[in-house]
Amino acid sequence: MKRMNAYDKAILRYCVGAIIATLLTTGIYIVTVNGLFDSAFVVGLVVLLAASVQLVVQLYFFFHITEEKRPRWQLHSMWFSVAMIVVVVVGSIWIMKNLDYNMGMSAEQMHQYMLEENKKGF
Amino acid sequence: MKQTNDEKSQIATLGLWIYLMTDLMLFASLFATFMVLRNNTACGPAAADIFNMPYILIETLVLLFSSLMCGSAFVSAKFGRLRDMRMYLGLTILFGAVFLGMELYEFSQLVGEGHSWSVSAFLSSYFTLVGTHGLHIAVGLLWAGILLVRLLARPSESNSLRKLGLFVVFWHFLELVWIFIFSVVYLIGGTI
Repeated sequence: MKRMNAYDKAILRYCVGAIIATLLTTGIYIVTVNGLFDSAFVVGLVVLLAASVQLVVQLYFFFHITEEKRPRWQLHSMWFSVAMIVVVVVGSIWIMKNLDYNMGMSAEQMHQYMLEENKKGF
Repeated sequence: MKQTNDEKSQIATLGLWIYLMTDLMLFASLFATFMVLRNNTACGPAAADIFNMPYILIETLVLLFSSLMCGSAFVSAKFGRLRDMRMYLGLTILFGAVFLGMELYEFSQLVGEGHSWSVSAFLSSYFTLVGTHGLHIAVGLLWAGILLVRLLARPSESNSLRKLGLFVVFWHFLELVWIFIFSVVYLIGGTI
């Protein structure tokens, strides 16, 4: 077999990345849509895990993040963004879940509560 | 001090990267909004009732293929194979346009069935998140189109590699954001 030249190698690298990404996407799709896991928590965990693996695969094969020269500003700014995203997303979900809990009354009860509050006047 | 082409390219890429990281904040806040509001359906449909999952899977694979073509275009440009590069860039635009068309068709189906953004907080946040991504794709297609026309008109331009490189990073970024929309909105939203 003829040795591959650098051009084919570089194209092949992208193809390998795309094939791994396709397998991950299709695999996690089949697992979730067919309901292989009963618990919502497990489904969420597995889907997020697969998405994170896909993130790493694409950063390596498509973005060539490991080939950046020092000082690695791209990598550093990315870690900072990840920290910010975790604060924004996890923080929002956490706080709003607690708010929902404290607001936990039915529409009927809420209506009654508002009527009583209105009687007290402003 | 005169900058070499390589240094210019590095600085330009870093500039684009910083923009992408701030764009990521925009998407993060829209994701957070969606996660908070996704159960507030106000007696309207829930996520599991309205999404056509096989259609979404095909859409995802179309965008992934477009991303692969875009990477191949960059490799071709790096090795000076301009004909291959133009072909790959053309395919990138073609599959990107197919993706955008599929997304718009999905939106029109939802609105046609009466599930528009004004129905519930869930649908508002859904249309905002997915629509913002679609808008980025539309801008990316415009960018790629202009790039292709320029490369056809002036094929020997020395800084075309740098210009293409910036677009490639942008396009891969949109593909990554879509992976998270696919996972969070469609897979988690549609099955839990």
